[in-house]
Amino acid sequence: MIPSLQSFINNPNDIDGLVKSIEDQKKTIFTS
Amino acid sequence: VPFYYYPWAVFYRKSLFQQTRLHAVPKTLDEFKALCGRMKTDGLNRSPSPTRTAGRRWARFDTSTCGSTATDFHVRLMAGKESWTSSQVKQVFDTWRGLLPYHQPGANGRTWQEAAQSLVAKQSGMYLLGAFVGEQFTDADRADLDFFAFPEINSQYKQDAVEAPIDGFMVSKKAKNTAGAKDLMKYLATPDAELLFLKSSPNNVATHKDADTSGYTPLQKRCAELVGGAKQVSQFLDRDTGRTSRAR
Repeated sequence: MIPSLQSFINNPNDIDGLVKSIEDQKKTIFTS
Repeated sequence: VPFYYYPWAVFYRKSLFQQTRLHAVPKTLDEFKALCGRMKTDGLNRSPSPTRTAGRRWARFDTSTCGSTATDFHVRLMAGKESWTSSQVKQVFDTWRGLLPYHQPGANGRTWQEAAQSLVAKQSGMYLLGAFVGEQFTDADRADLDFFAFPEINSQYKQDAVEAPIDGFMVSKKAKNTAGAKDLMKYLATPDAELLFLKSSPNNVATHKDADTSGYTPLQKRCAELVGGAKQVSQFLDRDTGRTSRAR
């Protein structure tokens, strides 16, 4: 998650890719 | 044991606002962006914006989600019950993106303390942070510190929600002297202990309902008023979900 926010700061234009990668990570956390 | 709390808001130096043309406190996001634009023209950064300490980013995210969506959506998102690919979350990042051009460059390499020094030195005009930003000010400069609530992002939710985490103490499960630790906790839970600490760091607000607030600085009083008047108060990330985050 931290790298996601840092990458957003560097490149704020790919919001779709950003939230998808966070959602993918979330699934690994909440289903384990 | 809860000890003190601190609201997140937009902090600035009163003298800087008086020196420049910045007199009106922005109430809406459009007014806020207009102010950011004027500051940029004047050669100021709106916000020092650190990210080396990740918590600062998260609290900004909380502030944005609670301002753009219902607070219960924010809590469900933190609990894993809403999708990050939802339109609400995209809207939060899009709002954030719209503010990035006004930020001090190089945020990813900066601690919050370094960023606060930029506000102290009047190189940055405003800083969205917790009231603990005052720790980076000298006693004399701290009297020059003021804040306003984060402007309204969505007229449906106005400025109803305030992010105001509580910091406190916990006893380790592996404590060697559990009885002694509990005695200490009993003391730390008193108004006297909280006020003693706040005397040395008058940047936060005591959590105890019986703590005497008459000795507060004007800024502490305003912090207490902001949180007391909020319709919703978010803590930090998933602290409102009743679940310990493994993502943190």
